[in-house]
Amino acid sequence: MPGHEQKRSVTPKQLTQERRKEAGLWLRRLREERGLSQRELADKVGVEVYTLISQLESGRGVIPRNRQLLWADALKVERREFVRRLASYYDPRT
Amino acid sequence: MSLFEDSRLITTQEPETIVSSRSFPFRNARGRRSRSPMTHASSAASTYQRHASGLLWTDDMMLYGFIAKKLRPSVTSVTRVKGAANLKSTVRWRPNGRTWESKVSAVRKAEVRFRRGDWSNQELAHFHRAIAVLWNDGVSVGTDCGVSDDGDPWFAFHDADSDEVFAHFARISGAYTVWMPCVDRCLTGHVLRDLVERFLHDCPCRRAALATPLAG
Repeated sequence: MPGHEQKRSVTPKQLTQERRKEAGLWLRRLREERGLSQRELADKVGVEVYTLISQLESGRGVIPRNRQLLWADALKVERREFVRRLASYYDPRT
Repeated sequence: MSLFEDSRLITTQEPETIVSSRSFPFRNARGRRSRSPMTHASSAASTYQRHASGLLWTDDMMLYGFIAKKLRPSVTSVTRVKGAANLKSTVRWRPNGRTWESKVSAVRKAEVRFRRGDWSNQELAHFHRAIAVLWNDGVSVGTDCGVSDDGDPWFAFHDADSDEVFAHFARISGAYTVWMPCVDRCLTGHVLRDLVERFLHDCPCRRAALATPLAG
């Protein structure tokens, strides 16, 4: 029926995926603003396989907690702010 | 190594007017990789056509072009060298009234796909076999794939329930790599089949699933 909009239900899993994609886009934007290539960033954060950066930027997977400060330094973002922003994407309840 | 750094794709017979891969501005001012310097034509000895894909087509293969954008409109013909084992084609063009000729290397379509960055059907078949094995062992596996900015493809296996990635395959410079974050182990090799076998053998998720008795 025209004018009758069906309510779209979003499952928690879909919500998580959307948030991770947003996180990926944010990370990509930060990297590009710093003029870093994916390989260069991988070197800085100690990622062995540089395509992992591409994977994270596409919203698949998360940055491990023990690497988040390294990422903050590599992307020249204040550590506390970086971790907080990342947590808002990965685990918004915290 | 990206597509443009692959020396096998660079002809050695190009005259100076063709911009070589080293001098071609592959990166723009912001340092990002720019579009391919390839050209496109409809068929062998056909009229030149510009195409968004930037590839040069012939009957049963694609050619990798090395012609700078400003020279592309001057291309007059593309002829496949008959009987050439190494799939050479001749490109003729007239930049400023003078005809230039160059032989360019060509590769078959399957190889083009391979080198362009996508996974080939054969490679995907190995991944699908791994998915089948994991499902069979009770691992709820999901997959995702993509291509890096440099054109290297990756393929990730993740837990369909928790979304945690437990294997990341990549093809970088022709070599395959699999990284398993849960065991922090990286395996490399030139034969994907062997690598998939090793991954299936070492995969902790599979071991855990096998160790867990089925409910009911």
